[in-house]
Amino acid sequence: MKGYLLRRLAYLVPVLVGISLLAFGLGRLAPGDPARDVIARTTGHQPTHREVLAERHRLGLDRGPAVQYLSWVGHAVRGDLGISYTSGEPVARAIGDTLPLTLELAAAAFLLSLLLGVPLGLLAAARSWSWVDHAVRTVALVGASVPGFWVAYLLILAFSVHLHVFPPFGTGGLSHLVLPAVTLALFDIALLARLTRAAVLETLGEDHVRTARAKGLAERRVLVMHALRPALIPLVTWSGMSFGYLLGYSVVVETVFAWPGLGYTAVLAIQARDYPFIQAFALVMAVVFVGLNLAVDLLYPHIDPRTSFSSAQSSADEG
Amino acid sequence: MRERAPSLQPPAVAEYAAAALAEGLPFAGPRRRALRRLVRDRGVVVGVLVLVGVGVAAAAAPLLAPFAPNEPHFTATLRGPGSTYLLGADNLGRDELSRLLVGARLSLGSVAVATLAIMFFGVGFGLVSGYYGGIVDSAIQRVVDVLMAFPSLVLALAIAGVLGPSLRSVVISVVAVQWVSYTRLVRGMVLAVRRQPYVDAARSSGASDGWIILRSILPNVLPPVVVLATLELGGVLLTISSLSFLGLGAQPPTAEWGTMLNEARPYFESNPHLMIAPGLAIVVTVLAFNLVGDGLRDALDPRTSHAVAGARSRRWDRLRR
Repeated sequence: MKGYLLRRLAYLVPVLVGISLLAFGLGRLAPGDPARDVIARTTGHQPTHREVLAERHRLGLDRGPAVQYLSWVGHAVRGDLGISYTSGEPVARAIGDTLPLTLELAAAAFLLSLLLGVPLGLLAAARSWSWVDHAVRTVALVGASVPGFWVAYLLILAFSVHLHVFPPFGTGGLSHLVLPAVTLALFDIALLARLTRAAVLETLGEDHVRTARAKGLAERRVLVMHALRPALIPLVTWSGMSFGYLLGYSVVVETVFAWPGLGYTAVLAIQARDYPFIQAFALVMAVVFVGLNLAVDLLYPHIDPRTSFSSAQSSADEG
Repeated sequence: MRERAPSLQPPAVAEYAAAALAEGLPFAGPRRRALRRLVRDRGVVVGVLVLVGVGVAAAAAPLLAPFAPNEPHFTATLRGPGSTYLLGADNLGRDELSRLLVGARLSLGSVAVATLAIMFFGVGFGLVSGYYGGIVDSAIQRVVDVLMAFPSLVLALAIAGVLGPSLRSVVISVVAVQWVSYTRLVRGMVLAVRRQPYVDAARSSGASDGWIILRSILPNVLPPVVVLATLELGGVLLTISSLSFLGLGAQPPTAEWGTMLNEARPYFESNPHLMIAPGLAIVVTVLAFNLVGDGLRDALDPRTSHAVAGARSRRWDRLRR
């Protein structure tokens, strides 16, 4: 266990270095001269050559790329993500203010998809090839095919504009969370319903399920304790996958609902070409995602006793 | 040639066509069985019909569109659907239907370009990685690890944002993020194929590495790649539309589905038709892509679909190695 943990952490080092390199490199992809850009934006006039040189020096852009990268990483590790080009405030503070809101939204969507997706999939598997199953599969197919931002507007039209049940924009209270969380969860609910159905259908054909039925257990108990439990492993794998989707798509959902999380703030930063913020946004989202995946990985052996840490490692080596 | 069956009823025509199609299928053995399953799959048939319809509409858009897509009709601003403007007109009085038809070309075209580029880079790096192994393989795989460590939309958004708003940036960002799943899939398959006797035979008969990769190995890895690409088409369209919707894609006044949705945002309460029409166009197209993709996967033998499922889950299920 300890050895596995160490190996797993050691593997993270090159990935984290790569993440930081890529996030840093994003700033260098930008066309034009950031120094000239910043002056033009803050003062509103075209800068002289001398001013540009001074600004370049102030931003550290006159140093070599390697030095710039090391200085950037060095500061990032200590929690300093630079100064926003637009607000002039530390990027880290803005991220500290907005990231919790994004995580709140993602967590709500995650719970919602578990609470709706798993029962739907179980229901479909229990009544496989009936109309219930067809209905669930159709809903799942459609749910995976609609653009979330479009559904968001339909939800606002229905529940805010016409029914006045939920507020359309902003934060505050549980009622503000409902529509964004449903929108964000939709794709995962669809995916999870499909996954659960397939996994449960597979375990339903196994011997231990037949034994459970033969000894006269109630069908509901057979389904939940004997068919669903072994199906949990693909569900845990799914959760690792879903975090990436939830973090990424939160950007779109937050923009529609004016939810002042990290994603919405990042879209504003992109429109304002605030490169330090864009770099920090990519870095922080990737680190959060990597951390969540690490947590999921460490969860495996607790859910499936058959995968001890050593065998988890050997099966992982094939991939 | 088959004999013509006399007086066919409409449902029988479809059945007859399917049977004729199944008879005349190319290939033999498992591939033919797969194709037979495919033409019997109602979802696939519906999906293909829809895609053909959308494709024809996009190709013939200049002929079908009642107006020029950017032609303003100031008397018709924000008009609802009616007889002159079948799907209504937008805030500048431009005909929504015409914009939808012409926009299909850019939306579908960008999906096609992105998917081809993703396949090119993904398969290319996968072939090289699996065939040469060693340090080349390690280097490529580390890059893949890093790209997979990002939530894909976050990275695509950041790249497109930094490159500056245009449909080209969006396509580049999607390609930059998505090629990795193909690389993992292809690399795994190359490792399996590389030791096959026919590869050894090709090598001992003096074939070059390039010839072996392209003629002996590539044909074996292509079917799952095509399935994966089909399954992902809908996702690519959704990603491109999402980025366009955020204002990073095609810029106004260009007609493109995601951009049209972005432009409709201020009017969604008063004129929901401006949002419903392009949204439905996306939904119908993605649904058709997904129906065909699912059918294609189910029609193939279990081994292939297993590999594809692995590649798809691994794309999300990053870092678990």
